[in-house]
Amino acid sequence: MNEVALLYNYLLIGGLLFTIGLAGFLVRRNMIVMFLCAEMMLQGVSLSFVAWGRYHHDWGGQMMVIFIITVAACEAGVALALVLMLCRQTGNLDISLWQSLREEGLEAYVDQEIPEELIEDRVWPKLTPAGVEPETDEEERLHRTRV
Amino acid sequence: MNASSILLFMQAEAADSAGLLDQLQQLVKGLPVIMWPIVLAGLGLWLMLPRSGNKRRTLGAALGIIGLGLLASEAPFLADMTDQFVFWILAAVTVVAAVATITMRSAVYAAIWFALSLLGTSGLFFFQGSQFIGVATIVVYAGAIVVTFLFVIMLAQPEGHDIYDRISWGQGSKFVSVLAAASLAGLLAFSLGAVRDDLIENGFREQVAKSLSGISEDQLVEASIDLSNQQQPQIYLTFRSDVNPAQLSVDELRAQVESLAASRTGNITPEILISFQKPHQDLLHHEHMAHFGAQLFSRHLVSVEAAGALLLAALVGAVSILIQGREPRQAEGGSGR
Repeated sequence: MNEVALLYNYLLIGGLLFTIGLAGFLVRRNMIVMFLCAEMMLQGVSLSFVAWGRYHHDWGGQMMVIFIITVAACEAGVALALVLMLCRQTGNLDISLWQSLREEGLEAYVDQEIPEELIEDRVWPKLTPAGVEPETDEEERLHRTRV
Repeated sequence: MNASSILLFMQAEAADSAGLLDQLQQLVKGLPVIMWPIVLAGLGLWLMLPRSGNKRRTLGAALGIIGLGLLASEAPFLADMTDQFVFWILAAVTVVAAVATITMRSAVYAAIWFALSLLGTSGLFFFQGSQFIGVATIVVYAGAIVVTFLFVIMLAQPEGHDIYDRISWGQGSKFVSVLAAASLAGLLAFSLGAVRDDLIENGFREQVAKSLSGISEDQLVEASIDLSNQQQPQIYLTFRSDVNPAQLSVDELRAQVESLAASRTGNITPEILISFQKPHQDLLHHEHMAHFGAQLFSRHLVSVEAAGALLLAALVGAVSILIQGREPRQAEGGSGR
């Protein structure tokens, strides 16, 4: 009974990971986060494979996961190259800028309201006030440890 | 298939029967119990997704946790209480980190939460004895792929977050995607429930072990009844590797097991499948991981070679994409890069 209970629990978690990744992929606009959600779907499937492999005492589950990891790495390389190319064209990672690739007859999605930036999201650099000479380290100036 | 045609179809169906309200009541009663935790968790997820407007994330988080807790209560318990505890902690880390990944407003935070989710799944892999996959997940996924993501975010989006991270897109995309995800999760959980009802028989293993002479309860690793095939129910018996097959009298075994299972299988004589755990199937055997390598490079050798070729092709492809994208700019500016 323990074998089946373990299988049940693992399949539940694998299914949850897959569906959460699915929801995230459909909703998010940032291309990188969309790809993260695709990787999460792959991870959910890996979990299910290993669970089934253990239940049937078959190595095939873990073998499949090895190849899933390999293919995910390849996919990450190619997809990130493509994302960088797209980003160079438009200047940011928003996927809704590429709506010209949509189906015929569908209307384009236009942002209705753009939310304000939250206070905790703002990150301002620390600047020295004007008129005050910043403290310098002679040693640091001559031989920079970091650029 | 768009919304209006579905509505028309439903109205045509409803017109036949007594009334829409009665049909709705019947539908609600017919749903399996496992739907409600999924519905609750889906509602929580929908509230937590990035939205324009007032913050409802904490309410969404509370609903989601309640829903997932109810779902976890449906799952059967593992044998050992420490096992159960460890599994619940790893599972909670994984699922909470996964939900945080898709609801974070900053892309960098999402990537780091994803790395935490990968640590959770790696722990789950370790938990059931696939140590190599656990380590490979950490080294390859969390160590290489997520770091590559972070590098790309650094190159493309130096602030780490932007306007389009704060809102979802498409008309009602949040609702539809959460509906799709929740229905899929509900279907998966429902089908798992059917498996559980057929296979788990409380105390069957102990009964069988007691009825057999010369076999202690530990030596019968598993005894389960599979009723998924109506014509031929099957009973699986798995003995440990130190049980001598010559000691088992097969006829006595069959008679005992059939009589014990009679209440479940009814008139049909079930097929009894006996298997013995071989030493290399024993997860605590010291040669466990060596057989991993043996399997990978003997039985799956062609796949390994193909995967190597695929990696090479992907690498060449990625580099060629980047070089092609760079060339026009080199021709224009002539800045030596």
